[in-house]
Amino acid sequence: MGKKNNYLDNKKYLFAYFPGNSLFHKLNPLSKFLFLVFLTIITLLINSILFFASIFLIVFLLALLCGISLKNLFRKLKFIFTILIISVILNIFFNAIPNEQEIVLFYLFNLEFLPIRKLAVYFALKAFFMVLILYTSTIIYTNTTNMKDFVYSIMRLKIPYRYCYALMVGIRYIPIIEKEVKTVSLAQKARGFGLEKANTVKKVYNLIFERLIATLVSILRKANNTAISMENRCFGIYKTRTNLTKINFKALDILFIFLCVITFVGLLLYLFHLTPLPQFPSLYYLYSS
Amino acid sequence: MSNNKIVLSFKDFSFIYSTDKKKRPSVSDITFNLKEGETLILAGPSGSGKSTICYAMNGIIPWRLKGFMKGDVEIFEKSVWNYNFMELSKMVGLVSQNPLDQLITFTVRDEIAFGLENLKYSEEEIEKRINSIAKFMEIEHLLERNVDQLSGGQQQITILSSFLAMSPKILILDEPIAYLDQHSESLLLDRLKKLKESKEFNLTLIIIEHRLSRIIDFADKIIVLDDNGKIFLNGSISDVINNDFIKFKSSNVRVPWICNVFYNLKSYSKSDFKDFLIPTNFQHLIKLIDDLNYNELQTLNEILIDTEIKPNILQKLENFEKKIEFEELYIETLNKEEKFIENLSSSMKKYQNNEKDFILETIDLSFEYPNTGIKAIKNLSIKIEKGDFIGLIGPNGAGKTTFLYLLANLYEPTSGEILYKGQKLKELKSYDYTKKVGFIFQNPENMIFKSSIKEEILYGPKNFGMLKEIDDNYLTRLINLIGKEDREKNPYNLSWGQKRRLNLSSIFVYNPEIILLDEPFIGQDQKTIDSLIETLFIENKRGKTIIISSHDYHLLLKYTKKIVEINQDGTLKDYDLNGNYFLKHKNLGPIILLDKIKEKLNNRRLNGQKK
Repeated sequence: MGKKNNYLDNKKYLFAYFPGNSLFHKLNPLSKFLFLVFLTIITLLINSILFFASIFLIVFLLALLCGISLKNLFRKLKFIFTILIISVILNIFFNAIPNEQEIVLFYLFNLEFLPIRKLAVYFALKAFFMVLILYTSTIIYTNTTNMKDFVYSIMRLKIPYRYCYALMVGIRYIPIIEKEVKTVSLAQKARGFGLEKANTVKKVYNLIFERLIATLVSILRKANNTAISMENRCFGIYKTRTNLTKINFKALDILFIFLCVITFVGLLLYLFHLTPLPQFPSLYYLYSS
Repeated sequence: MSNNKIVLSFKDFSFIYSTDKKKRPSVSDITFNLKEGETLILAGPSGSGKSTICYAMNGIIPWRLKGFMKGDVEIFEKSVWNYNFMELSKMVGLVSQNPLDQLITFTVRDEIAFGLENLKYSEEEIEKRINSIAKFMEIEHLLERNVDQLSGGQQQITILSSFLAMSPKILILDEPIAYLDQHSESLLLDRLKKLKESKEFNLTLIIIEHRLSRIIDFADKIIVLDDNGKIFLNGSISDVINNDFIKFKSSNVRVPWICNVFYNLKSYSKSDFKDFLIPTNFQHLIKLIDDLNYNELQTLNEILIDTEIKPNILQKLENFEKKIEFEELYIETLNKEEKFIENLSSSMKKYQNNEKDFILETIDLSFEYPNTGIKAIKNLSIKIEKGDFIGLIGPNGAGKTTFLYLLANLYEPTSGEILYKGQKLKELKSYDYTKKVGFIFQNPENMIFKSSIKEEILYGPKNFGMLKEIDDNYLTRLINLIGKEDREKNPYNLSWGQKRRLNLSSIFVYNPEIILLDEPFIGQDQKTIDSLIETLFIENKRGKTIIISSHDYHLLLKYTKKIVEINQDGTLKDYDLNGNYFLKHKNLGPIILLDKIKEKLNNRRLNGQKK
């Protein structure tokens, strides 16, 4: 029973953990998290499309280094990619404020009311890369980090252990909840509901409402059992508790954090024009000539 | 043992779960004592207050639940009021039914350490305790394993160890074997026995259970509650069995078959072995048989078949509908070998001639979870005849549920074919087929969707568009199956057993030909199980095909005709079209005993001839 489910989890979930031996796997979850935070800040600060593209390339290479195969990565990015493409198209049309004295690159189909403006293209591409970078880096993080290690490592940050255990139980419950939802939906199907596509608002409402109630009832019952089992083992009696499992920082982590901080500070200085280096040309300015 | 001190005593304990004093108490006037090292079996219908009694021991009452408490509970002759919550939860451990609900952490080591960490023991002390407990429980090799890679039995032992590490004085086990398959059950019971015998822990055990045959051997006392939360039966096991058997039998427990058979023998025959104590374990019983004479052996044989192998309700049914044929109950023919062989060949002929009688047929059925490559079911080919009552067995995780889902057309097979009356399922309209199948899920609450009993029962017919066919009379009869309840009552307010019966009503209402049940007995009390299986048996005699997955072998032996056994890897292990599964495998007490008796009878006969 166990083995089956465990394997299932890995394959099925976008953000599930894949055991591996890459350097990134061996790092402490917190040092990786720091990297993620730095990456997010940088991504929010930059505004050059070329810069975005090069960061994305780096993240992409990192994913390959972590043992996530190209095929697997594309499969995982397929959904967000589709959404992003749609959003780029919508952005281009709706961000084109008609009254703005903005350079119009060209008119689509030579129609007066369908201008493709430069600023709109810029915004659309910026959003595209930003989301893509953050999404890919999160996938890399969760694919290389065992959630168990993550919970244990944040316990060491002096975060009250009650919150850490809330997180831990939450992670444990993901497959349980999924299974319960599935069973309830099969129970509906077994008694003839949802065999044909729900075609009225009322039917859809019923489908969701009934499924939600039946699932919630059984999940709450389980959660109550879990709570009693925890209380019975003296959970929450003292303000602190012993932690047997310790996730330590190794030499590799210290090196990694050092590199991250150096790069981060360097990039910040560069982005705020504090270095003599020339600024990365923003894509926006590229066509202004 | 008698010199041991009293660990636990309840004195006129009553509890009301409410702020309203006038409400019916959940338990009332509970009085009993337990000494150090004793084991108590606590039984009673669901909702009779077994959990309330447990909570009163480990401090949840009075510290965590609101309500009114009368009387007193004393642990080591000190009232619970004089302890604080931590002291109580350290002293009293509680292992409940479903192991998955109780696991908090990810690895076995962390799980065992969980309680100790909460108590702020030093790391060295925790390591020391983990190692000694793991050694005692024989799970040293599992310590670094992930908890969801373990079998149910191993998970339950992990939780048990987690409590033992805190060195409790009292350990409560709330139906610890309910979710476990045969193998896991034996594993857990083996460790419990070891625990009970060890001097190291000197534990007082309280086991909540109604299937007594596996645990009665190492228990000392029994308490059975009635529906109102009062004590119905209280006493030492040997006393209750030998002096109060009729009351014991009428209480809400499944009397061990050994006791039952031997009690009947005692009351039937007038000979002198009346003074014998009723045995509680199998070895004991086998020894007793040696002293029986030829006639007594024959009586025992008949009693065994009557009480343990033939369903009791047959008698009732016989009065109702005289025309029921019993030839499928293989055991009836067991003594009359000639007739047995005759029957066998005739039934073989029947199978060869009437192939069209098969209501369901699977051909090389396989199922693979999407995107994983893991096969839950591999190349299953079986044929199910109309009117079959089939038991589906196999270890947990073998794919029993998946197989039932496939038969109900809830999953689509990856390869292979399911035929319904010779027609491919794929070619049938899904509405038509779904109407013919009733599915009962393991958890009664998973299949309750509506806010009143009436709407709930009509849920299926409404979806199938057959509301007009159901008249008020029929509906009333279906509601009566649940008990005399208001039809506007919210189903979630029913008792656990009533919810299960509501599930049955809501399926019977559209009169399906095939009824599939996935572990319907888990967490149900004995009365509900009895009434459930009786209903199913009667429906089966009316021509419905029933497939039931369960690990309650004794029930299956009594009621089902055929057994489908699935291997751990999802292949078919055994399916005997003639229904001789139990005869072939000899893994059940009553069958082994039957063989012994037969052997003895033969010996006696030979000896008699010689003389």
